[in-house]
Amino acid sequence: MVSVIGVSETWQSPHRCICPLFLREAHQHATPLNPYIQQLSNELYDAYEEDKLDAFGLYIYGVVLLAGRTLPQLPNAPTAPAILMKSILQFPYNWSAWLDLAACALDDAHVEIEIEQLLQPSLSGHFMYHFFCAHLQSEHQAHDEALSIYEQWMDPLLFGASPFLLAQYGIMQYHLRQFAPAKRILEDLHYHMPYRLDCMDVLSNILYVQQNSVALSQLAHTAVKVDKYRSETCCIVGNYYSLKQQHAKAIQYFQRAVKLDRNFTSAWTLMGHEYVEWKRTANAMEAYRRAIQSCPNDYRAYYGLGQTYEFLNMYMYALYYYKRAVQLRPYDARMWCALGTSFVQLQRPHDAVRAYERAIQQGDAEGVATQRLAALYKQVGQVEKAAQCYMRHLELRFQVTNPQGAVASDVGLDSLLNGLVVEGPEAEALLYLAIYHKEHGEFDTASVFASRLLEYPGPEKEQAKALLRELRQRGAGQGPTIRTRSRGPPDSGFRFSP
Amino acid sequence: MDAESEQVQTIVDDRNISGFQLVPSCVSAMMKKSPSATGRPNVAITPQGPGFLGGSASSASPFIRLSPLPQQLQAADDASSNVNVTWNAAQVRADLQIAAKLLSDRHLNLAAKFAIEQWMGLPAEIVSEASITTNSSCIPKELSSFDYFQEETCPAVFYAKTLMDLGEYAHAAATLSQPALSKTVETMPPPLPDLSAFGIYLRAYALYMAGERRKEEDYAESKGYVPLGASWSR
Repeated sequence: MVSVIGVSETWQSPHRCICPLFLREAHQHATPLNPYIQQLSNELYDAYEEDKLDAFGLYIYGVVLLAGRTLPQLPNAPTAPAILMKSILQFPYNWSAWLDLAACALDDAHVEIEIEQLLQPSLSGHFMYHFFCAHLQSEHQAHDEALSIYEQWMDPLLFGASPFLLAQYGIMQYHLRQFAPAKRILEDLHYHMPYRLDCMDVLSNILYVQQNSVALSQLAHTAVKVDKYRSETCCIVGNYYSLKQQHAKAIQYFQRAVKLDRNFTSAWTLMGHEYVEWKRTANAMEAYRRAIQSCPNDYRAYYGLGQTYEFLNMYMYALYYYKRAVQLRPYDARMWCALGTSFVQLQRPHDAVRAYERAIQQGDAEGVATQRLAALYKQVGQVEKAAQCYMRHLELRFQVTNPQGAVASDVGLDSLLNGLVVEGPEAEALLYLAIYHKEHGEFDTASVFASRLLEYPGPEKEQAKALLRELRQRGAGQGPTIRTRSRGPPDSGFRFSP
Repeated sequence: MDAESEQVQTIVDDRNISGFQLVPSCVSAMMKKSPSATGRPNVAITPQGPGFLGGSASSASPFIRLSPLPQQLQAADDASSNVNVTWNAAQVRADLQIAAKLLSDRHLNLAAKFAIEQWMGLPAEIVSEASITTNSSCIPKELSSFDYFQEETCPAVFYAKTLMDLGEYAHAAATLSQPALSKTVETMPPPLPDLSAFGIYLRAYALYMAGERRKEEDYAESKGYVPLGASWSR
């Protein structure tokens, strides 16, 4: 779908996010301009002054003002948001007007204050205003709040069966990485309205992440039958080929998607990912840059660029892009982890520690950040925290390996260790903890940790054997063993998220 | 799922948007209020420490205060149950119907699609207890009673509208413009005098679309591919 009405027509796929036509300086000259904007701006100004514009006339005037922001303005000309709000107050059902107003608000924070003053008094109960708020929340990456608004309006007594709301609900869940409910609702929508392709590329993303090639091929087949030359369809087919590891074909379809709609951010981002898979880093970076150009608030493009630069060992650049990603999505542990990795590569262990701590705060379910953080604590010499971190890592890995079992803190140390799958990071943790407990005179605990390493085929095994020998010698010469320290967090004040 | 009906909030306005009633936050099984639903904190956490990210971090959503819901949710929680749900679904449906027609007449197809999807989302059976009056509609009377088909007497407006449906945007704009002194297509003359509000809108919109099409075509050609024309008719 080519965006023909400025930004307003881009609402179909919300992660094809709104980007005002007022682009940054570097791109102004590269971006073509509508040749009639100046003329329209003047003519509509005259009509506006003579009060000849109805709500729709005001709307088109607002669109023209928005498109012509880079051009010289008449001295007393009103601003785009002011005109759009006037239009909305007269006729609140024009969703395109709300979307263009959102574009203004994203561009300039003062607009939100004006919206609050002018629109909220009379329209705060109106569902269009609620949808607008939800949309803006989503653009600000506050998907939680947006989701709660949509949920409220999906009540069967209100707009229960609205396809728009169902699609938005699915998309918000997708952004929150709750793939199961997102898939459920989008598949349901697709089942009932197979011809509605508006957000089906999001569904294809979910199916790709879940590696569900059967469902993805069915979706692609249906989409091609419905409308072959549409950006969403091309993205779906591109995802399908990507899952089959056919990089060239996938790229071909993503390119077709952006030819059909050059502001389709998602297609650019997916193209970038595909080039990365294909090891074409230069093309990947170009694709990610185009994604950022069309939507400066899409964290995936920044994250992708960071990963590409990391792959090229250009860590300063990677750091810059990861910082942007983190600013956009501060509650996502992966972003903080990536930031931490960059700091480590740049020999900034203290910054890395803080980054990993934030990652853990945001819920590092896989235990990736805990292990790296523990290694860093060891490096900077914070022994207590390192031990605690390693222990936490083992607990998390136990949780991952035994998702149905008891909570890690409830099982005894023996069961925990036996329930683990010991790989590199776990071996490192076990060895460190064994040494740690030995240093603190807790020989029993130390030997429990060390013995767990005896089956591990790596260098830690030899060190564990040596440790056990030493423990037996020293244990034999000592009196009754000291009570083992509890596994709970010591009083260092360092807390993990539950 | 039980929908506990809540207190109604009436928005009264000094203009025409009066009596639009909303039932806020029906506490239904779908409302997942527990913070663990998404497993994350609700508010973006700002990074600690100055300069940690080497710059200003605009991470917290500045928009939270704009949402009207928290006050309504609060009110709803305080309310006693068994208050009748009185959001005026019939009025909303009537409004959406009119809005869809107005938007569609003006070639704002995506906005019309959106309005109709909300209309589709309304419950199938609406009990029209509350009467639908023009006073409680959100659409001003001059718009809702305007039917361009009946009101316009000049054929130019009809011609322009039809041309827009066909995708001939520049032609549509020219129809509503003054005759050019030299019959050239390089520039667009000013609008006809005495155009109605509908005519002014139509011409402006047509001209804007013509310009957008030219822009996209120039862009595509500069990138070396032929623009796929199928998308323009939407």
